[in-house]
This record gives sequence, C-alpha cells and structure tokens, in this order.
Amino acid sequence: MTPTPTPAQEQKIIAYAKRGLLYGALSGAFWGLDGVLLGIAMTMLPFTSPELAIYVAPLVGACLHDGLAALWLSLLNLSTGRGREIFRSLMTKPGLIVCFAALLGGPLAMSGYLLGIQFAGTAYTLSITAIYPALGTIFAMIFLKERVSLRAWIGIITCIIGSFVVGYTPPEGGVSPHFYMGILFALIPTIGWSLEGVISTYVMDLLDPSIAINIRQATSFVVYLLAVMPLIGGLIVFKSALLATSGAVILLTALVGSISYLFWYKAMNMTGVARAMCLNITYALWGIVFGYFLTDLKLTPTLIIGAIIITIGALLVVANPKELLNLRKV
Amino acid sequence: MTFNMKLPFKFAIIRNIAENPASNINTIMEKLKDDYGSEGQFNLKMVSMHLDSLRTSGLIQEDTNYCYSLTATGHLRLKYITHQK
Repeated sequence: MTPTPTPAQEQKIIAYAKRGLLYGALSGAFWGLDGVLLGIAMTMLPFTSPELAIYVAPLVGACLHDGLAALWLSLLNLSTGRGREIFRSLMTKPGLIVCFAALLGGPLAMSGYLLGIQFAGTAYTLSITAIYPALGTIFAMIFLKERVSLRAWIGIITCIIGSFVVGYTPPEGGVSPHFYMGILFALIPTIGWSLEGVISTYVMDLLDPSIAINIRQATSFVVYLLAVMPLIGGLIVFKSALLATSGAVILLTALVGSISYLFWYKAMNMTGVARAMCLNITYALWGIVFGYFLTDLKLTPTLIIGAIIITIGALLVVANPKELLNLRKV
Repeated sequence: MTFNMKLPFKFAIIRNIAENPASNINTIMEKLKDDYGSEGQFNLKMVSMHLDSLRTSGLIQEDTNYCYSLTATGHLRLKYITHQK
C-alpha cells in the first residue's frame, strides 16, 4: 500500500509537478521562437537556391538543427558533470529505446511531414499533425497508465482547436492527384511525435531527461546524415550551409531548440505526457508573438482568436494542482 | 580485457534502494559515494531530483520518515538493470 504523504510531502510533490508545468510552458515558448528563427534561416542561401527540390532545404535544415542541438546538449551535460552518463546510458536497453524513439520523432516524422505538405497541402497537414497531443494522451493512458481528468481532456481538445485556428490557411485551389497519400504521410508525424513522447517518458523513468534528449538529438542527426542526406542528395547543401550565414543562424536556433526539447522532456517526466504535450503545442501561440516582433507577421483576428483559445485550453489542463499528486495509476 | 562500466547514476540510485530498502537521501549518497563521488553530478540537488522523478513515475515510494522503498512497478523495471557493477 502506498504511504499517505504528510502535508509537507504533498506540498513538495505538487511543487515538483508545478515546476514540470513551467518547463512545459517554456518548451512551447522556445519552440515557437525556434520555428521563427529556423524560418529566417530558410530564407537565406543555400536554402533559397532555385535548383533545390522542395523537400531538400527543410530536411537539410532539420539535420543541421538536430546535430547542433546535440552539440549544445553535450556541452550542457559536460558542464554539469554528466558527460560520462551519455555513453553509460547509451549502453543500456533504455538508452537504445531512446534511439528508436528518436527515429520515430526525428527523421521519420519530419519526412512524413514534408511529404504530407507536398501532396496534401499545408492546411491539411498542419491540421492533422496538431492532434498529436490527443494521440499522445491516449497512448500515455494505455502504456503509462497516466491519469487524465475530463477537464484536462477538454483542455487538450481546446488547445488543438486553437492550433487549428492559428495554423489554418484555406487550402490551395485544386486537389493533388496524390492527396490521400499526402493525408497518410501527414499521419506519420502525428503518430511519430506522440509515440516519441510516450516511449521517451517510459525510459526517462530510469534515465536522466538531459541525457535522454542528448541521445535523441544525436541519433536523429546521425540518421539524417548517413541515411537521409545521401538519399535526397543533400550533402553538398549541408556542407555549404555549415559555412554560410544561415549555418550561424541555425547554430543559434539549435540552442533555442535544444532548450525547448530539454524542457519538453523534463516536463513529460515531471508532470506527465498529456499536460506536457498540451503545453508544448502552445508554440503556435508563441510563434505568433515572436513572429510579430522578429518578422513581418501581421496580426489577424484569426490569429488572436486562436491564441486566446490555446491559452484557455492550457489553463484548463493545469487548473487543479491536486491532480498532480498521483500522475499514474500505479 | 575486462570492460567494467558503471551504471547510469539514476539506475544506480534505484538499484541502491532495491538493495537497501528504507534508505533516506543521506544513506543513498553514502552508499554511492565510492563509485560516483568524484563526478560533478554527485550532489544533493541532483540525487534529490532523481528521487523526485522516480517517485513521480511510481517506481519508488517515500514514507513519512522520508525513507524510500521500491514499489511493485519499480521491481518490474529492475529487469533493465541487469549488467555491470
């Protein structure tokens, strides 16, 4: 039987989970900034070269991003005395499971996402992938026995509706002959990101989140570099981007991205997959804020309404601290 | 040639609790000092963070005397900790 915690212990448990909520919210904010900065890098050479196929630039960008993020995270782990933990963890079964999760959430999800956009269009792909927190919550309830209240579910669905509103652009005229294949491709990142979250959370029960995300980013980079780049003929673009101004912008973006991923992993570990994923998709809201200040993004009523809906959803998910006492039915 | 690698720190903490039920944070640190004491990560804050994480995941439980023991789920997860020192 689980011992009943004293009031002081209860406070400590709730404070810990609340810190996880803060990490979740910050992961969304940093991911919003990451998207805006990566967008800026994509407007620079060599990514704007007209000879490039539509999917090459984003995949090369993702490869560089994850590689440099792995570098930043290694520096963080070295500076906090955890350098040896990376290799030690990689030699364990949970460490290898993280590598598998990295494949799902990294190159596989990203490739599906880009092919989805190409064949089904941005509007449908963004709308389908925005439901990943709901799928992640279902997986977390099944595999991690995570408790999710009805109010939290309403909050998650509200956040997803808000993301639809923010990301929605009317579909371009005409339907691609491969439209339904595009829809299938868009399902790959939706399943990939939700499974990555649940699998990583399972292994973070035993692994330090900072080490798990370091392994995740390094694996993603290696697969991009050794499998995806040769396949799409991206190695030359990769090399020239490394030496260009866009490479420096991606170095900064990767720092922001590694903070976002680190906070996302920490949040899932500390406060549960459902809450962390819901707070993470507030990046749509933060993308508007950073886009407004850093680019020429115009605020439209749709964007503002979407942002308000996301905020309401996020507040619904985190509303009752008492729920944080027992995150799982174990 | 023998290749004797240490367990990841969080693994070592949970295995220590499995081998020494009703340990508190100080006794856990004392037991792990020989193996991890020279590493930068070996400090009260880090051990406390790992204990909070293990408790939140339902792998360990804390009694009212601030002592830790493994839960049934924690015992099941020990299958991942089968090698090395």
